[in-house]
This record gives sequence, C-alpha cells and structure tokens, in this order.
Amino acid sequence: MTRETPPTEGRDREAEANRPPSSFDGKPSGWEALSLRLRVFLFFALLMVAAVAVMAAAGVIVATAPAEDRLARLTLALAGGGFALVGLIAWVWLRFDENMVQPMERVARDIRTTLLTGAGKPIDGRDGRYLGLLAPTARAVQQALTDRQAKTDAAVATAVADSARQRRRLEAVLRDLHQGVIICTPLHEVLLYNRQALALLHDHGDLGLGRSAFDALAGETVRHAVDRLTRRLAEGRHQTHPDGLTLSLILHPARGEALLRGRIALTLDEAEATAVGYVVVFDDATREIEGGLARDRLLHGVVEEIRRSLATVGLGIDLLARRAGTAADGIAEPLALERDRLDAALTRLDEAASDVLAGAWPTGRMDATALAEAAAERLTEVGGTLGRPVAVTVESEGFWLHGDSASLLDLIERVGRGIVGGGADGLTVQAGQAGRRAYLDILWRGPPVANEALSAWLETPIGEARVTGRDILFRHQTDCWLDLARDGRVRFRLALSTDSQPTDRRTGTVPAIPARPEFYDFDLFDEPARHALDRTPLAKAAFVVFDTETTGLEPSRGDQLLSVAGVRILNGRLLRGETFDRLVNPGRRIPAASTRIHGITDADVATADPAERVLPAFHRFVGSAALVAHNAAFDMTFLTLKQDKAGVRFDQPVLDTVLLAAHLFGSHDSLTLDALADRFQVTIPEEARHTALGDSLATAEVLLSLIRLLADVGVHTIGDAQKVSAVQAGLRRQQSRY
Amino acid sequence: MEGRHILIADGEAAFADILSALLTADGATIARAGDAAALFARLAAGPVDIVLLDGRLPGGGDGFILCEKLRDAACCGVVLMTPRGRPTDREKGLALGADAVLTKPFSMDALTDAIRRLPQRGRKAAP
Repeated sequence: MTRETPPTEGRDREAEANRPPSSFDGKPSGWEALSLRLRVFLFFALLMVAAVAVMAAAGVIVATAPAEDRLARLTLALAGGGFALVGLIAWVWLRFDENMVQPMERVARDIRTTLLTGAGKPIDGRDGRYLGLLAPTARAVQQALTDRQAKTDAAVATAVADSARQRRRLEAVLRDLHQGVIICTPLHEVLLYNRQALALLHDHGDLGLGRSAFDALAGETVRHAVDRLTRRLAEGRHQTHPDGLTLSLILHPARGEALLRGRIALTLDEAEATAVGYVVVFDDATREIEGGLARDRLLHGVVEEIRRSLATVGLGIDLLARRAGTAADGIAEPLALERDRLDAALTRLDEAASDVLAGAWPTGRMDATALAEAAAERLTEVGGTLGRPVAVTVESEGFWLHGDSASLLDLIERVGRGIVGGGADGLTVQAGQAGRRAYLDILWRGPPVANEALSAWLETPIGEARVTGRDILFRHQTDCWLDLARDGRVRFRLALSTDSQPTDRRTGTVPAIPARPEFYDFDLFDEPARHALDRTPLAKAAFVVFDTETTGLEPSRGDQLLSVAGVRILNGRLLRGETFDRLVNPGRRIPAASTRIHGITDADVATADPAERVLPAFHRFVGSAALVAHNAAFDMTFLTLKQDKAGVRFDQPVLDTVLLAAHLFGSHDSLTLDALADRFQVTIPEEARHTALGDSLATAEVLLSLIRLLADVGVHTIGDAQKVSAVQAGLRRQQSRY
Repeated sequence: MEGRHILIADGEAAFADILSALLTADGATIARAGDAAALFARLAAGPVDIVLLDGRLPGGGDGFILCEKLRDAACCGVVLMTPRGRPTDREKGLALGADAVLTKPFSMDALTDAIRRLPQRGRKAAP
C-alpha cells in the first residue's frame, strides 16, 4: 500500500506544518509564548477592565455634571459605554473565533481524517499558534498515527508478499507433482487442480475451477468417501481412526476406463470442527491394478490345478501302496510324506494369498457399525427406487473390518435389489465377528431364496465401472451365500476379514496425528547456507525438544534410560507430526516407585531395544537441530551415558527451559514444567503427563512462549540464549552453595 | 464303507478312477458321473447313499449350487471336495448343505473318516 502526501495550500504552510511542534522545539515567542489559560484569562480580564472603565467613566461623567443635566449625561454615558463594551465584546469574540474556535475545529478535523484514512492533511502550524500545546500535541499524535499506519502497511505488504510467495511455491510444487490433485468445496465445486490431474483424467475441458468435480470424476465413489469422512468427523471417530480424516479409494474418470488410485482428505476450518472442503490426490493405477488382478487370477488358477493333480497323485499313492503291499515299503511312505508337504505348502500359500493378493485392490480399515449403517441406508434407497419401501434395522458389534467399503456397498446394493425385489420388506443388517472372520448379514422373514438366484445377481455389472459382484468378492478374496439363520430367518451372509491395528501402549488408542498441515514449511526454501547455530535466530531455529524417563535419578548408582521422546520445532512451529517416541530396555529391573511415576513396567520394555540401538535412532532424529529439555542437565546425563557405546555424540547446542525461564522470571518463581505450563496456559493431558512424549510436547509449547518473551528482553539467537542460560546456571550454582 | 452306494461326481477321470478303485476295495458300491447332467440322471435312476461332489463339476458351475440342490432333494449325504483352500469355502459348503467339506488333496484316511461320520440316510438341518 502506498500513500501520497496530500496537497497543501503552499510551500510555506507545508514547511510550517512539518515543523516540529513549537512546544517541543522550545522556541515560542511573544504572544504565543503565553499559556493558553493565561491568554483566555487576559481576554476576559480585558473585558472586565473595559466594563469597569466604562462604568467608572460613566460615574465620573455623571458626578461632574450639573444636577439638571445628570439624567441626560447618565443616559449618554451608558449609551456610549454600552456601545463601546459591545464593540469590545464583538472584537474579543471575533479574535476568539478566528484564533481559537476555528483552529480547534480544523485540528479536530485533520486528526479525525488521519484517524479514519491514515492519510490526513498535516496540521497547519499557523492554526495552532494561539492554542498553546494543543496544536503541537495534535501534530505529534497525527505523526504517531501516520507512523503506525506506515508500519502496519509495511507489515501487511510483507505478509501479502509472503503469502504470494508461499502460494507460488505451492503452485510450483503442485505443478511438478506426479499425482493429480483436485481440491473441492463440500458442494464438490473445484477450487484447485494441477496439470497432472488434467493429464490423468484425459480431460477434454470437463475439469474447471468452480465447476462440479463430477464433470471430470465419476461421482459415486467420491460422494461415498466424503460422506464416510463427514460422518467420521461428526462422530469424533477421526481422533482414534488410524487414517484420521483420510480414505484411500479407487476412482474412475467420468469418461473412460482408467482406474485411478487415490486418497481423499477432508479439510477443516480453523476451529477444526467443520469440513470446508476436501482434497483428492490420485495417480493412474490401471495397469498396476489390472495386472495385479490378473496375477491373482493366474495364481489362484494354478493353485487349483496343482491341488487337483496332487489329489489324484496322492490317492494314487494310497492305491499303489495297497496293491503293491510290502513291495511298496520304503517308497509309498516317503511319497505320502511328500504329498503332505506339498499340501502344507499350498495351504500356507492359500493363507498368505488371502492377505497378499487382496493387496492388488486397495482396501482400508472400516468401522463395522458404520459399514452396517451405510448398508442399511443403501437398502432403504433400493426400496425407494423399486417402489417397495423397506424397514431396515441395524445390529452391530463395534470392531474394525478390512475392505473397500465403496465397492462392498455396491455389492450390497446389487444383492439388495434381488432381496427387496423378491418381496422382503423388513430387513435387519447385522455386523458381527468370530475370531478373525467377520460377517455382514442381511436377515429377513420369508421363503428361502436359492443360491442360484444369488449367483445370477452377482453376475450383473454394477455401478459406474461396470464391475460385477463376483469381481468385488474376488478383490476381497471372500465369498457370500444365502442360508437360513438359527431363528429361521433367511440370511444373506457376506464373509469379511477383521482388521487389528496396533494401539498405543499407554492410552489404548491409536496415536493421534494432528490434522493441521504442519508438514510443510516453504520458508525452508529461503534458508541460506546454515549459519553457525549460535547465530541462528530462536524464532527460525530447528529444535528437538525432548524428555527422558529413567529407572531413577542417579546414573552413578546404575539408573538407566527407559524411554526417550522428542518433537521438532521449526521456524517457530511445533511439528506435532514429527515425533520420536521409543522405549528403551534398561537391562535391569524397574523399581516400583519409578513405575508409579511414569507407568512403564518391566513387561513394557521386555521387547524394547537397548539404549545402544535407540540412541543412534534418536541422534538421527535430532540431526543438526538444537536440543532443548526442561532441566536439560538431567536428561543430557542419561542421553550421554551410553553415547560412546552407541557410537554417537550428542554435541548439538543444548538449551534448558528452566534456565531460560529463570532469566525471564527470576529464580524465586516456581519454574517446574507444571508451573510454566500453567503460566502459558499449556494443557498437559493427564494421561500424557510424565510420559516422555507428553512432557516433550508440553516443554516445546513452553519453549515457544519463552522465545516470544525472550525477544522482548533482547535474547534473539541461540547464542544469546546460551549466554543468559550460562549466567543463570552460574547463579544457581552459587545459590546452591549457600 | 461296506455296502454303501457312493456316487463319485468329478470331471477328472484319473482322480475318479483311483478313488473308485480305493472305495471299491473298501467294499462300497460305486457309481460315477463326469458332469452335472450325469449326476442328476444317476440320482434319478436309483437311490445313492453318498455323493462325493467336486467343487467345480463340469456343467454344474459352482459346486456350492449343486450342493444346495442335493440338500433340497434330500436324497443323500454330500461330501464336497473343493480344490480351493480358502476358509470361506468350507464354511459356505457346510451352510449350503454339504455334510463334510474336504480340500483337495486329501488322504484316503480323511475321506474314510468323513464318510464314517455321515448319517446313514437323511439329512441334517442346515446350520
């Protein structure tokens, strides 16, 4: 934003206006040198003197007149005195108006204009001549306002340039990505797409900003995925779901047969409560997926063939053994063993195949209840389209399934058409599990339906991609059938696999990774050749804020490291997605008193790596960043205890949040992590307190607050921070002596 | 096994030959059907105790569908011999009316054991 100097009435006025306020340059003169109050007083004193003088003159005139002329003289004196007084008052008013009221109005107007527009006319130096300090003060205020506005304008201009630069870089990154990217509003209008998206969709002008994404992408899959994610968000399940607010999916262009493998992610508003759109990232997987499915078919076909041949050979061995009697001794038995070995190998292959081969078609984790509910919705819709309203109830256990929910629901829809079309009107969708097997059942009362009918339903192509139900079953390496349930209801049963994902050791939930996009920082592009770290500004430096849990407080008495965790800070941002959190096998028993603090038991660390293996991994995680800890001396002691054995050296600069806080607040304040967290309103979840990662995160937030305050007291670089820390450490050492 | 009427429904001639020889030696009376049409023709011709049904009998498509038809006909015990090792095959076979499901290859002992467990006549209810 640029601003022009407003035109002034003349060079002398401008010069006058730009002149420093007279009360500030100390050179007032004559009348102007008198204070405003004195000047106003003198005006009124003049009036009083004049009035007294008129009355005195009138008195003299009347007193000196002969008795018979006194009345006439009195009248004349009063009239003359009155006129003189009125004239004087009029003159005083004119001077007052010209020199005080009008300048005050102009000063007020100019300040107001400056306030409103940031570019008011400079206050005329002559205006304020008779206003005492008012005019210079007003000029100072105006100048301050103008300066502040200029600063704000400069900051805004920098921010705009920054944002434009970031946008250009984002555009450059998107342009060079091999994946197609489309960003849409919740109403599926395209907000952004990249060149690769056009290429992958073989676009013929269908894709365009502000247009529906479904002009270019087949909509059913995307709509279903967005619905699933929106439901996950609304129910808060995204916080524990390993995929958060993302889903992998197979997409199809609106036209053409290509198979696009992609991932969709909801984007949230600042409050992270409402979806403001979604991002789809995809690439062409046609050859890969079709190749994978062909490989699966081939392998299954070959295994079947081998099983058939082996069955003949195996029974042949039994027959030969019987016929040959003792002549087959020593031959039949090893052959039978070979048959059994081959059989066992094929069984292993079958077991592995059901896991490995299903990988040809991308599948993910699904919430069983969510799938059952979506299936119920789909069945209700089927009833609607067939003109046969159906009541659908859902009964589900809470567990995870593995599969591609979009295509499974397509399958359910196809089967549902058969079921509802056959006259069933009250359906129950059940999701249940037995061991690793899971089932999605549809139950209803009515005459049994032959599996031959189901077989015909499964052969009918479904949806946009014209795949059949059999294709979907094959992709999932599973099957479905119709039978009767124990209670006599007809049952459609779809067998599925359960999914068990490792959970977090302490909370029992999957570790949540923040949804906020902390995984980029385009300012890194700007980073010049690395400064010596101690000259790096604190606000720009890379830190690893870390914490350790130990078996006790005394390494000299054999206490050992139990856990080390850290989180990165870069350019003043806490990267919650970049954490290190490892347990360490201490090679000794953990005292119960210590377990009570951090909750780590002998069983927890039984399978953990020893410090010699964890420390190199942590060293790699730290890289060239500075190390920060709360009471760093303690943590560094344990970190360096086995660094020689581990073959690493933690020689990065180390900062201590205790010492930095002591520099700011003095040592008389409590400087515990809890106290500092409380002071900076950092919340440490109870379950995270006294875990290495939880405390690292809290310390990192404290550090960010400290860095902001340190800037105000002139501590800007890592070197500055180390200097003040050294002073504080010295003070504390001295205090500890007394 | 002695005296049982067993129908081997399998398109693999060599496999059916060997199985037939083994079962005959054990005292069973054997009939054979190389495809679905022959299977139903043989069933119509006279009573059979047990059908050893291949998972993919020529002309019969999915062996499971034949299983269900045989259950509905309530004519005989069914042992489904599937060439696929997936756990769902066994489950689906039993749900659709097989009395036992054997995955090829299997030993003669396993087959004899399965046949021995079958009810002499009649059908058990579907699970």
